[in-house]
Amino acid sequence: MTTETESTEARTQKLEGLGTRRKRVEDVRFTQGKGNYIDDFKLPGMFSASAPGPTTSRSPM
Amino acid sequence: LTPAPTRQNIRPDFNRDVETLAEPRLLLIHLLREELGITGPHIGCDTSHCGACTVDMNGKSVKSCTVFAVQASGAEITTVEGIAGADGSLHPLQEAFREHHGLQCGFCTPGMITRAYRLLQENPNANEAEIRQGISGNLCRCTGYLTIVRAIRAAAERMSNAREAAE
Repeated sequence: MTTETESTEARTQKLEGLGTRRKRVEDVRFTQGKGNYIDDFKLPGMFSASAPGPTTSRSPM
Repeated sequence: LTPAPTRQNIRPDFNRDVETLAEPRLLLIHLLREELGITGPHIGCDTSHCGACTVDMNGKSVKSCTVFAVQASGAEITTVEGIAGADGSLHPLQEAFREHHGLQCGFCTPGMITRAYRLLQENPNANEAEIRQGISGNLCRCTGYLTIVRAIRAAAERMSNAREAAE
């Protein structure tokens, strides 16, 4: 990861507006399975729960 | 209380040799994520629709939520973590996904890349239609697939150029 800070002028010049292809920093870990999503964490005493929804529309909960 | 199911020894090769015990009902994705801490493959739907849990097992793409852990006994398994080079360099597919914005939230990406990795071994010069067919078991809610197909196509070209250069 780069630590250099670009000048405002340099950054403004590179902004090209909508649809500009720009490499994202986070894609490096996302493409390697290192996204650190909430389900990827395991903490002591942690447990999971889920809330079942109604099985048909307008059915009583 | 019912008696605990018999545990069986399984030896899958998750980018490294692993020897572990697994209950017969344990799914491969749960073995990977919960027991082995390999959290690259994701649980997107739990119903075999979305493909976020795709791993490579003995040279085939499988949805690891549809495979029992014991079925992976002795199998060679590659997850998304095993696709980048040993030196940490990104695989052409990973580069291309980044370059072409083949991801936004990134949740489907491990499955997409693992699947594309196998697809390009089955068909190194897959055209757009073949790519679309080939990844039809993987769902993405962010990109609309256009950029994913573009990324896989770009990676295929780059890999084929690299092969030609090597010859």
